[in-house]
Amino acid sequence: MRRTIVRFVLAAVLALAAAPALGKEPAPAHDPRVAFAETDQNKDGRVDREEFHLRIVEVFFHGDRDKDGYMTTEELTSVVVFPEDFADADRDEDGRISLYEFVRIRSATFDEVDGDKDGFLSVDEVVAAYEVRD
Amino acid sequence: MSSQARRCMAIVLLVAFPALSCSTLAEKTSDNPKAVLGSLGGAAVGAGIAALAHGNPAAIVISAVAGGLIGGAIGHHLDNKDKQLAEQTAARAFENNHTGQGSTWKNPDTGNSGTVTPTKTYQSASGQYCREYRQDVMIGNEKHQAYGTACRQPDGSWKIQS
Repeated sequence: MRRTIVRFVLAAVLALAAAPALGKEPAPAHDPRVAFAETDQNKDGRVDREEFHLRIVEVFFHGDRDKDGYMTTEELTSVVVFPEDFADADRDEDGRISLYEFVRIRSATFDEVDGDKDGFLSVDEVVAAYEVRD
Repeated sequence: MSSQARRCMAIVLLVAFPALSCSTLAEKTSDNPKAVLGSLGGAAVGAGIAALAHGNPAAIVISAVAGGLIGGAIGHHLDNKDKQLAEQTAARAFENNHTGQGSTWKNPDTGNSGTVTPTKTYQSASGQYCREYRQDVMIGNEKHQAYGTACRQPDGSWKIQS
């Protein structure tokens, strides 16, 4: 479960880390510090819940290819290696994931990574969560 | 790297790249000058669109912008081509750009240029995707800045909110 949570958090925080500007070289996707910097919009050295939420919404927007407001299994499959991770996200079991459902899953992981429980994610916490997987 | 790590990395990577793969839009330029600066635009262009729109033809949509991207005094200083370029750029930026990623247009004939940068993405209560944006327009040596919101319509166009 812990690993799953970490995956969610990393996917949310790091998602778009490598998303390059179109026509530009991709950023190093493996570098959580780069992702952190991009998520930390106000550049105060920490990621708050609002920044985290904005990142999640951004991921959903770009993942929703047909822009119908939902992520279908096909869309999930095309952007997520393990769509089964989202099995519990589809609470209304309509076969697709709404932004609300997506955010609910992602947001639940914030506290897991916020080790010192100060309500913010530090770069060290994000990096530590990343390294847990190794 | 462990298999677990590889899995996570893959997830991160594959979730991170939808912006590239979702660049499934063709574009339509409005001849209506009013619509020109009413739309915000992006980065990928012409030939790139077809290549980016691989895999799922059904996902290809026509993207345009309606509304007043740039109105008032600023709009009067832009010619139709300026506005057309701005609209094309805006439409692409709304559809493809990440928050904070600007896209620039420049008209070599007039020397005017502009940059459209989405600043926030959200979904309205009705389920529409909306993007707040900042627009910087250079007319001669004067820089003009404006802010606005565009919401995606069911037909794939983006409408500037008044």
